[in-house]
Amino acid sequence: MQRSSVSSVVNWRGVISLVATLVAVACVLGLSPTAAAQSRPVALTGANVRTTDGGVLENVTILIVEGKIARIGPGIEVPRFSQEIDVAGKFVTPGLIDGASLLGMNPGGGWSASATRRAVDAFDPFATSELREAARNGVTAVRLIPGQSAGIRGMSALVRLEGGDGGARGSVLVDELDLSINLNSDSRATQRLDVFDGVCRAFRDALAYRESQEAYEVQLEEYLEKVAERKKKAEADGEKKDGEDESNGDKKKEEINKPREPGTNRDFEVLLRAIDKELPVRIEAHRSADILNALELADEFGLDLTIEGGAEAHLVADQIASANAAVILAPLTSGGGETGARARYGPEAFRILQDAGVSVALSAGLDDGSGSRFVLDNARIAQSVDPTADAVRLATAGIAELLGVYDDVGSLRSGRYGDVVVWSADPMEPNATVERVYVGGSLIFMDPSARQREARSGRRGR
Amino acid sequence: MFRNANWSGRLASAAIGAGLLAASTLSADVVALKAGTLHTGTGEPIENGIVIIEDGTIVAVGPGIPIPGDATVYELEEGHITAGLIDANARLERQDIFLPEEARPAGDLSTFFVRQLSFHNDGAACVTCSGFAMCPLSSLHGEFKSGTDQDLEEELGCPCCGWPSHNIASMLTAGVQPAITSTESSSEVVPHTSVLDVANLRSSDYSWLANSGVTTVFVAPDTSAVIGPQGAIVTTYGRIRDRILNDSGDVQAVIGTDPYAVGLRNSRPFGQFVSSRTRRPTTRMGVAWVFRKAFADTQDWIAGQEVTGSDQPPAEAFPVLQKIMEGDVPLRILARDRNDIEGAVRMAGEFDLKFTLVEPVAAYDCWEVLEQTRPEIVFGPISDSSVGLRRFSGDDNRTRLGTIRELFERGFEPALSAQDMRDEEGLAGQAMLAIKAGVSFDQALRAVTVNPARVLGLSDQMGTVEVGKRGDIVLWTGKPFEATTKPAVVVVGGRVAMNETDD
Amino acid sequence: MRVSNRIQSSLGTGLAAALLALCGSSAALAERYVLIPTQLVAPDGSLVPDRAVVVEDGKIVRVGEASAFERDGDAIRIDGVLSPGLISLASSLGVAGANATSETVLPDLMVSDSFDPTDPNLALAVASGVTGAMIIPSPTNVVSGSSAFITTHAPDGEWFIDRDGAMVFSFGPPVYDLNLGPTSRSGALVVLRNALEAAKNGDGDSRLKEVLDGERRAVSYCPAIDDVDAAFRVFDRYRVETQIIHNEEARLLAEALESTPTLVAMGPFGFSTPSWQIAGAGQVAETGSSVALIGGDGTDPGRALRTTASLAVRYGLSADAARRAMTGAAAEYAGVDDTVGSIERGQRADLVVFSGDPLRLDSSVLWVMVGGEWVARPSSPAPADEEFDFSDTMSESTGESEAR
Repeated sequence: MQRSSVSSVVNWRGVISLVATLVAVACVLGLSPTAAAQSRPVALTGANVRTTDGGVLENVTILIVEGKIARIGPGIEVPRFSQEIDVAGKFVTPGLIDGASLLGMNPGGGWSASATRRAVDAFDPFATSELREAARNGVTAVRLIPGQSAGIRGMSALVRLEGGDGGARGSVLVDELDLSINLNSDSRATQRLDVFDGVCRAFRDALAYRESQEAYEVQLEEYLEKVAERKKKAEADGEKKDGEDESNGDKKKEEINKPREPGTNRDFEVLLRAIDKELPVRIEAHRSADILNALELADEFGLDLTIEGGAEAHLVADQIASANAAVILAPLTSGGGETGARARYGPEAFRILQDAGVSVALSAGLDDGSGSRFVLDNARIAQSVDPTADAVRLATAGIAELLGVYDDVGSLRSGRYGDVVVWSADPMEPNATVERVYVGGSLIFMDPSARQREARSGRRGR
Repeated sequence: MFRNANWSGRLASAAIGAGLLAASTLSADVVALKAGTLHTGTGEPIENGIVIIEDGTIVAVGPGIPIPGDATVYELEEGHITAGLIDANARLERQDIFLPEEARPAGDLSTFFVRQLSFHNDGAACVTCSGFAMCPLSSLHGEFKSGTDQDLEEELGCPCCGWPSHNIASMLTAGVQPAITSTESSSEVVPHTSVLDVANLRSSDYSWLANSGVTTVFVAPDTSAVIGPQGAIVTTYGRIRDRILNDSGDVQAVIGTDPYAVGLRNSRPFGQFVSSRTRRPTTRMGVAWVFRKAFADTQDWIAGQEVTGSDQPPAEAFPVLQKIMEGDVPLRILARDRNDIEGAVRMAGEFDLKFTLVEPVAAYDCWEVLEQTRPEIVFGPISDSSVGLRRFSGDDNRTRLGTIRELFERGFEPALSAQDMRDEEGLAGQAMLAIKAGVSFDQALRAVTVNPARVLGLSDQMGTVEVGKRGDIVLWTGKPFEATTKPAVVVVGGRVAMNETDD
Repeated sequence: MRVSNRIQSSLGTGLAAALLALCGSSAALAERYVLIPTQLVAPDGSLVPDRAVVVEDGKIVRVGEASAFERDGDAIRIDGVLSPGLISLASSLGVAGANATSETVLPDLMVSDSFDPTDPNLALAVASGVTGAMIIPSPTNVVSGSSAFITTHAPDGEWFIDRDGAMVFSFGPPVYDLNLGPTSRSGALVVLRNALEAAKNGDGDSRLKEVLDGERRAVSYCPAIDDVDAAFRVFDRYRVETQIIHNEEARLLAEALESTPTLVAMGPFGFSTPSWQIAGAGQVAETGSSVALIGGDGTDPGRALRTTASLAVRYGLSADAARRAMTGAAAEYAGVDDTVGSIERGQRADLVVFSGDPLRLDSSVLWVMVGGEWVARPSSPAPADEEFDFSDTMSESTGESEAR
């Protein structure tokens, strides 16, 4: 009946063989149903992209292959089987980076700090809701600081908010990014002395440790030489021994003491890496007195220094410049009604430091990591006092360069991670919202209303 | 626009608003529920019973009655219908605290006494004891910002609640009592205040209750005052104004240890601070004395005589105390232990006071006294050890599981309450525990519907499925109060609070 | 630090020349200005181009088409956005010692009596674009007294636009004090009801009676949403409409206000404010209540207010409503909207020139005019082509030579 009429129209065998071929091809290309979407190249087409000189390039295509940006430009060729997303009229920027944050770190309770503590060890890569909140605001990477205790805190890490299945998870880009120290003493002035003293002592002890290690090496060599010598002598003596009588009372056998090996101190080893400039040092300090202490510390031990926070850094801008230190400014303004240390922050600080020749980047991280939502806002405030600044650049390339990860993140260049954000409009407009966030080419966030709109208009990626 | 507080203008906009509101409720006007078994509460259950609710009132009940065409119908063949459950002594979690949604530990009643940081004037406060302005040492609280001054915190501890670590769970485990209550603590005798003034009717606790089948609650105050505030009777779902059925309910008095064990006063961690307002009883006899004095002073006041002695009730309390003595304002007395129960009966007798007895844990030990006076009883929660808020009480809770059964056997018709318990130990769970203890299904059903309605004086409005009563109905997935049964549809005042059927 | 004023090159040499000329005459203010900005913030909060604003003798006398004024001798083209001066609500600018702890019901107090015009924060406020502020007594009493409205720049010493404004009531925890009593909201409501009843019967406070008679506005400090419910419940009995301030459960406020639209002041919102809180502003606006925003105090209240507004837009408030929330709606909240808050004929000439849309975080304050007089920013400015030193003139007129 119906079946026969259908089969008369459709050549079933042909269909089956076609399907089989397609499946085979799909398998070959890794496009089986179980393969994750990110194995397909992703192409964002028709985008507006801001250039480094403040202009806007239109109709740009960004091609992400295997998690990294393969090509970017107008009218580039897109491979077959790519997932094409039409973002005509929208702006695409690199993912924003927060320069200092506690996002996804299990909060609370005293952090017992030491140089070997690593922020990455406390990071909860499955703290989905917090990470998603950051992603929702365009942040794709954060520098995690190891807590907030005073003194030597530990080592920071750089984490990208990777994830599949529409959820944000963390993945570590650099697990030991820098040594984080807190000289902040806004709670109690007497603490300043104790903390600073403690930190200096730690570095001095690290050097002493190295000396004792080196001394040990020397002593060990001597010891081994002596042992070898004695052994030789003993052998030589042994040959003579048969004939002669050793009645040499004055010839005492010299005690050869094996030098005691100084215990390994992992903390000191980390500090030594900092002293050798293998590990940058980032010191949180707000008051000018604390900042000057930090500069002193860096000078004494030859550290590669960045000041973090720096509420009063603009007051000592010249000193910072001559010490060749960089500054990561904490939130330029809380936005409303906060008192205490934050009240001293001011957007002018940004411009004053720049004018003095200091390399400045921004972080919006607040105590609980919630500030990661405001990375771009913070940058916009910086732009308000320095029209030559570019907020988007500050929040992406600027901080990436300072942190030394510009080779991997912070820009839309080929070879870099495919961490990009699609905005509904120019990100500088107050109404602009984040529509899509891709990390490593995977869509980790999509604005629900944008999703609805696209579904309704039938406009979708293929 | 709004500048000149123009009442007529406001009325106009309110009228428009009300009109819009009415329009929106009219759309869900007629609700029909049909189930395999309908427990009316007035006799034998009806098979394949149907309830029809119109405009918030039950208009028809019976098997096979016609369902209007515009009705929204909820039907479960294997389901059971009962009247909405009533908790006559509910302790609402949110009464005392404010925590944003994200920060609320799910179902953790230990947060009962805690207020959130953000209310502190300078943005920091002792988390556990909500120090800020209530703590007399609040000037020190600036030091206790969590995170920066942890060393100091660990040394001294919070001077308010005395606990060294601001970890709520550890505080409770160690038995440190929460310091703050919502009841007015400027005096021990505060019947002129109302619990409605401190209740947060928007708390999510109400939706939890509604979703578990409880449609009406008596919002009870905490047990920190000897003669406490008036409670309120509210429904668990609907517009705020519609939900308040009675804003001046029973006054709750407490005989026992709670008035000096619970609350911001001379409890031990606080012992060092005494102000002009903190002269308090510190013993059971002190509590009894306050109770007696309040009524004795009222008698003097009624007679126009001068009220003497220290620690008098506040002036506003006298009119209310008089009404209690005259029977116009109902009185409840919470008494757990045997001597408290007997003491309550004795003292109430001295002033000829009628009262409802609340939480008589040791009822099994005082039948003689109870059978003589036969007060109304609100019992529960049922457990074999101190649970929930009762952990903080100094009363020796020698509780027994079978007490509820004995109450029924001896002819009492108690109302069963879950107080602060939720989930498996919520009101439906309490009924299940009662059945386990030997109470029959019908008795258990009465304990959570008909009896509390009577205790609250609302028998004409709720408690059974009868024409003319409020449309407070629960359609259960099976026989109520069984471990595998839960509510499928909950209707409160004719509005559907929850619907888990596939419709 | 020297007060050095400078004019952005974008304002044009015309303005520079005009002001230089004025500098010569002693304490002189141009009596008439015709300002033609790139865009104007209209009374409904929208940005409109091609408008001219005529200021004369400290007031706005005309707002018209730019083309009609182009050839006016006093015309100055401004490359920027001209906005009404920002208004700070619930401010403590200049308020010193306004925390009364003697009693809990103190309707006779006036915060204007605690105003100290030498507060250096006033100059910082002007510099950040805030030209007016509603100051309130500390919300630590059930009834704390009356609020007031000040201008932030008053060379003639006339600081008050409204000396004795709305009565402030508090329903939140700051009121609970063991020694002052009450210790709970139920106790506080008893106290309040007693005071209102006595006032109604004629043997209570006369200023409270004014509130009951609708002659004086009421502002209620309600941090929690149930505080709002409680406030409405109390005032409903006396048919008093109360404005709400400082609610911290913004997301629930919309529900509470659905059937009772009123004037609401919300904020501040900052980087640490949860998004659900900020979204409350848009939700409340949808209920028909008028939303004004609070930026909070600090060294840059104007920026704090603009950040609050910008975040509110991000989470749902319309841009126009947000601009109004900082200006016209705030003035309405403070009861002074016939004097300040919008660029309309008859209003005080309190104006701010922004480098762009005030909602954009990358906009900055270029110039501020208060009462028809240009006031420059005393903080260190961005580099400019021309620098003018008005320090002599400024010190004469404001009485302050060194600002910081």
